[in-house]
Amino acid sequence: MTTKPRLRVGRVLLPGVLAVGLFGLMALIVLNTSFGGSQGFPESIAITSELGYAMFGLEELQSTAGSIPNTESFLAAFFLIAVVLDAALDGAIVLAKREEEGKPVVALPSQRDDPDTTRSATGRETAADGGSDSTGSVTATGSDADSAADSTTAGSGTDDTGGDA
Amino acid sequence: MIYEQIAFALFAFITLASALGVVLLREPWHSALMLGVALLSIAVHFVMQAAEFVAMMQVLVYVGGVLILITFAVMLTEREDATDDTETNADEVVQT
Amino acid sequence: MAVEVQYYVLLSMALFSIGLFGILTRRNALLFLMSVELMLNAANINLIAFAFYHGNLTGQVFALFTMALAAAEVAIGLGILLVLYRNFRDVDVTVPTTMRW
Repeated sequence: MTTKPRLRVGRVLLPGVLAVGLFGLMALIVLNTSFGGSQGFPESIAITSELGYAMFGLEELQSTAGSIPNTESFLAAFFLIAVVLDAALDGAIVLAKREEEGKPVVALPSQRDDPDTTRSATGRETAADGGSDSTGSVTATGSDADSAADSTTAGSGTDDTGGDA
Repeated sequence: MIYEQIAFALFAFITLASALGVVLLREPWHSALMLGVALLSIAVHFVMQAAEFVAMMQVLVYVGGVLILITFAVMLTEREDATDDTETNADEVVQT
Repeated sequence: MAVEVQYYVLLSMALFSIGLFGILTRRNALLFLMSVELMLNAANINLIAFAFYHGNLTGQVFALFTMALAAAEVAIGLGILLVLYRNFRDVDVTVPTTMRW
C-alpha cells in the first residue's frame, strides 16, 4: 500500500518563474532595508501572562511595573474571532450534513426537485452541475489528474447547454 | 551566539525543504506529512523568537487539529484508482 | 546576539512564495488548503519576528488570532472539499465549471 514518494514536476515553468520572481523582488526590498538590532523582551517578565492580559484587555494588570509597554488591547478582536469560529462551525455542519429528517440532502444542490441527483439509480456517475456525465469520464478519472481534467472539461463544454440528463 | 545562527540555518533549511516537498510531492498524503514537518519546524522558529506560548499553540492547533483534519480529508477523498503507475499508459486506459 | 530580523523576513517570504507556487501549479483542492496553510504560517513568522524586534507583544497576540482564523478556514475548506468530492467523485478544482465566466 505504501508508495515511494515521487515528485511531481512538469508544466510548472510559468508559475515557478512568477513565484521565484516575487521572492526575488521582495528579497531585494528587504536586503536594501536597514533593520536595526532586535529589542527583545526583558528577562524578568512572564510572556504568557502578558499575552493573556493583552488578549482579554486587562489593562490594570497590563500596566503594572515591569510589564511590557506599548502592547495593545485585543478584547474586541477576541470576540470577533469567537463569532467567526462559531460561524465556521455552523458552516461546516451545513456543508457536511447528509440527511435531514430521514431524507438525504445535498449541500449546494443544482436541481431542486431531484434531491438524490448525485447517485442515480443506474449506478452511473452523475455530476451535479457542469461536469460531464458521459461514461467515458469514469475511466478517465482514474488516470492521471491532468489528462483526466482535460478530457472532462472538454467533454463538459459540449453538453453544457443540455445540463444533466 | 554562533549556535543560534547555526540552529536558525538548520531549521530554515528544514522548513523550506519540507515546504517544497508539500508543493512538489505527487501523493496528497505525502504532502500532508511534509506539512507536519514544516509546521513543527516553524514552531522551533517561534521558540527561538521568545514566543513559547505561540509555539505551543502552533503545535496544538496546527499539528493536532488542522493536520488531523487534512488527514481525514485525504483519507476520505482518495480516488478509487489511486495508483499513479497508470500514468504511463493513461491514454490506453482512456481509449479502451 | 540573536538572529537578525531580516533573515526571518527572508524565510517567511520564501515560505510565502512556495505556497503561492503550490496554489498556482496544483489542481488538487487538498493541496490548495495545504498551500494556504503555508502562506498563513509565513505571515505568522513575520508577526512573531517583528514582535521580538519591536519588543512588544502585539504581534504575538495577532499570531494567535491568525491561528484561530486558519483553523476556521480549514474547517470550512474541508466541508467544501467533501461536498466537491461527493458531487464529482474527484477533488480536482478544474472539474466544477458551473460558476466559471
